Amino acid sequence: MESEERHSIEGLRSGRESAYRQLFEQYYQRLVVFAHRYLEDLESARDVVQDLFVDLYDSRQSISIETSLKSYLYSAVKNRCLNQVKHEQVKEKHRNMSRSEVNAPDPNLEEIMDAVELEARIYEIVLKLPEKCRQIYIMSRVDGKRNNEIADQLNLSIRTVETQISKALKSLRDNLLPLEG
Amino acid sequence: MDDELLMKYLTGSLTPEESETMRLFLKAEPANREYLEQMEQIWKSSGSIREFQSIDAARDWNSLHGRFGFPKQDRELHPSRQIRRMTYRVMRMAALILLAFASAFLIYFYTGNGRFSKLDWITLDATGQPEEITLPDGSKVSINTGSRLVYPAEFKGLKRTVKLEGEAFFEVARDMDKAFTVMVADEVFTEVLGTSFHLREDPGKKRVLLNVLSGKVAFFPKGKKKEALVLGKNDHAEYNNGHIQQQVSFDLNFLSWKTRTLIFDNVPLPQVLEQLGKHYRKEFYIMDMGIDTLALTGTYKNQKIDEVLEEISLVLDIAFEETDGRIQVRAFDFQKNEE
Repeated sequence: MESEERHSIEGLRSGRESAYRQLFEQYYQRLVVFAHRYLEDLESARDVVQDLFVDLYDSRQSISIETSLKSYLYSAVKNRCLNQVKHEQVKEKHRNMSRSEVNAPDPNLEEIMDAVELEARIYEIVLKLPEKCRQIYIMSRVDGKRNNEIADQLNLSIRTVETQISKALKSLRDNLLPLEG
Repeated sequence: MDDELLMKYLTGSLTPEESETMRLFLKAEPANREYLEQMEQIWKSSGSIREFQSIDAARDWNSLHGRFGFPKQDRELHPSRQIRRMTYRVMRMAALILLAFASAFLIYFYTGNGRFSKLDWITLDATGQPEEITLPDGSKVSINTGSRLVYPAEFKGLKRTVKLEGEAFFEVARDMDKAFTVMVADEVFTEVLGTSFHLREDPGKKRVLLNVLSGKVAFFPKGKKKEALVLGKNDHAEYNNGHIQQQVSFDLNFLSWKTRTLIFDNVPLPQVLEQLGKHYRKEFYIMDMGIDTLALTGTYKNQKIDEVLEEISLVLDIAFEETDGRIQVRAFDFQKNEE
């Protein structure tokens, strides 16, 4: 996909609205989820990512991306989050007159990025499931409901609930395996 | 390991016997262990689904949009030119269509580096409903919802050129001196002198479909005029990855968005649902295996989707149930509906 990526970067440099819009549509949700791992609230995570996109546009003339667009974005978000945390910690430090070191967390970028990318792909696949199937899978995995609880709540047989969860797992398996790395 | 066992394991509903079966399965081969670990990983990583759901990219883009400094696009029509050029509008029989491939010059031309500045071009987007427009030479174009037409305020130069993204129906005014060119998907050109035809590009599939409604058409790739296909009224052809072919079967409903009529002549249910889905912008899911061999014959003129579905359900003994824009299709359960 190298030429596609070069095309996107060209679009960003030229300040084309469609290039920014497409980039946003593709990466916004996952970058916010990623930022949320560093920052405490979702609101700040959204702000950080939104600021990044605007700054990207403002300094588009000097865009220089050595690795990939994806790595660039994730690493930029991580740096902004760490700066924000450091900033908060420094403020806190002064407020508390504490002498403890300001310890910015620095987990492995690649690891968390890969994890979030996988979650984003899972989200995309689950969105495409048929209505009932998706609903049941989410109630089971995300809400942690037992199969019979789901059956009662949706007025279905336990058999149907189990079949739908199996269908969802099959769809996920077919679209994701083998997992990378 | 079958899906049911896997599901029971992940949802914590294994019976003791099933647990034992699972244990044996994992012991049998290391690959099985690896498979289970991967599925567990997927199960584990599904936890953030609601978090993703709570982030509304479209809404945040809209509120963010103002902070960028994107240039505006000009969408005005030019009525004075329409009236002046209307007098030249004549529809005749013979026309030639040349299908040329993208030339570096024309791409250079349209990426704004050529002599036409951005200000000369007008963009028409059909959002929410089809749009109709009359071009500076009197040609009429109907653009389907979600499609876009880019055309100049005036047709200067040797050709009349417009750019299409999506789907449109063209009635081209005759001009023997200036060929009318439609650029689609940055690769395919359709050139006519005066005729009416329908063009649709399949985004991402590198496929362009052409239907001729009136006039005669010679259809050939650039540089291969001797191998031309001559098409007339109701003929249609497809350009697919460099190859041009005349089609045999015909989707009677390709203009349904314009005529507001759907016609089915012994069409299998999956195709019926595909065409209904395109026309009414809904998604259909067949939930029962037995019904996908049913075939439908009928004509539905200017009807709302509820009426059409009701009629179809009576004729084929199937049931439609809508939730959140998705419609599930099942065999009609006579027992259930006895209440």
